[in-house]
Amino acid sequence: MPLLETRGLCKQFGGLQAVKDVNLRVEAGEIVGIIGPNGAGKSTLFNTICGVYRPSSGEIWFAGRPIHGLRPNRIARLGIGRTFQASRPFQQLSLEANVLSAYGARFHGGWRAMWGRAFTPQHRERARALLELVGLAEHAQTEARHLSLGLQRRLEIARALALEPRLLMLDEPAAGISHEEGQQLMALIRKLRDKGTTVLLIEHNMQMVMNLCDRIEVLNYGVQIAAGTPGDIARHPDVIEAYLGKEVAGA
Amino acid sequence: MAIPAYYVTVGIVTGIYIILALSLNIITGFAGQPNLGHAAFFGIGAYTLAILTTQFGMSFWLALLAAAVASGAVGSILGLISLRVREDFLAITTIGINFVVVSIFLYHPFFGQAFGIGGIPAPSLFGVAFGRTGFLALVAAAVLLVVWVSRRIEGSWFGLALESLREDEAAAEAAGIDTRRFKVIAFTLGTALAGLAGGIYASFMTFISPGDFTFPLSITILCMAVVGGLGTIRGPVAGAVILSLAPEIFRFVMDYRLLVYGGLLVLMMRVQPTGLLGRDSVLVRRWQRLIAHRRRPLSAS
Repeated sequence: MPLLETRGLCKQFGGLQAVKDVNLRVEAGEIVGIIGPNGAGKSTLFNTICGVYRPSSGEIWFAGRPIHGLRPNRIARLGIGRTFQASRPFQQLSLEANVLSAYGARFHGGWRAMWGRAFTPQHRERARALLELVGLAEHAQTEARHLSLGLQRRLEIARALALEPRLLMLDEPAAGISHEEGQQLMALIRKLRDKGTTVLLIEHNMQMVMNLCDRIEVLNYGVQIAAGTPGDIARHPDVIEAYLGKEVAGA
Repeated sequence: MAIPAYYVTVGIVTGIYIILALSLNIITGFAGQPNLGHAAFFGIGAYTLAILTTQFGMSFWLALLAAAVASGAVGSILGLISLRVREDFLAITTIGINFVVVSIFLYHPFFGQAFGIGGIPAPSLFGVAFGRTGFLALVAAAVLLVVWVSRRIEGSWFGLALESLREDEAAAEAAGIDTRRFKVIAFTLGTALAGLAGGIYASFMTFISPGDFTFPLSITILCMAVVGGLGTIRGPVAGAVILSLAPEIFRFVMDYRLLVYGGLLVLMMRVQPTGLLGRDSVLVRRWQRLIAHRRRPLSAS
């Protein structure tokens, strides 16, 4: 049984079919990449899986249960952590508070637990460990708005990890960051996978996708046009066409 | 007691303003939801207590509880509305609620119309009716209660959830926070505490009329919280104290109240948007530097 599966997933905005009949399978322990030209429907697919959008039709199954129609917070607590394409940390909160906000979701169930102290030494230690993992521990008391874009992306990953997710979904994690930061990010993603987290990511940086992913799904105009290992995808004629355009005979 | 009656009255009024500013702070400061109609909930609490004590002979204490519950119930409806409308429209909706509530008090005979409701009894404890000093003690206790509730929120999982949704709703949802639920709780709690203030106010004044709960009062309460510093506890308390004492000390402030408050809001937004004692405000930074300065020679020796 795959960890995440979409069955005939469609998302329509008015007359625009952003995601069309997508059947995605992500097995536990995999790193799966979703690629495609701009406007291919990658982010829409992401947001539909995470519950930001309701699917127009089709089903989404996660860890053996349907999650389509659930609200994003519910899906997050079921074990899907995510980041956003444009980084969205809680700007005026410290990094520690950013991480604890997601860690605290597990205490929201009961009225009494909800009023429990968030910043106890024990919980702060947990936040520190997560910040350590992404290399931000020394900035724990800094407000998120003071961080560079690259560091904000790492903070978002730490916040998503605070949910202790089984699946981590990263929306263009390498966009706008330096080559060196990109290398660190890849090392981090591998480390997370080795610890048992499954990763689904959207990325434009081909070098990163090819190096990192076990499998790649290619979207174009909302439709899956190819799937396979990085080697298969690099040679796939439809993919080359989608990215580079059709070769004109005799040109 | 030797405290002159005038000072006791000023103290009671100030205390009521502190409760109002702190209760608004839960909704607007912690959870970041605009509320320009807080006076309506103050009014619902006041009228609930007035009607229950004068027409149904209910005891003050039970009626005070009912005032908080009634106000919180209407507030939770506003919370549910807040889930449906975007922030700027929510601000307008809250203004509308203020006008609707005042109109109901003004036009429905059950609420005494323009005459208001008079003869509201003072609370009594062990058979002794409260005098001015008793009221001051009651208000002080209520202020302590609201400060305590605010402090419990601050630094709890609940408070952190409110702050997260204030910062970014979509990101809060992604962090597993049920933003809808927390918004409704924030509105319910904040308006219930405003209702509590209303109940005490009605009993202290013995007479209330619709004019006591109009939109300008909502602006005054908001102004107190903003001037002091939204999102903190010390801020709204300081704002309420400063702005309720100012008209007592400077007559011209009394005469041009709304003009002064409006101007103050604009000025604060321009020069110190986090408020006088808000996070990262000039005064707070100065203070922290002063403390650090004092400590340094000690640790060096």
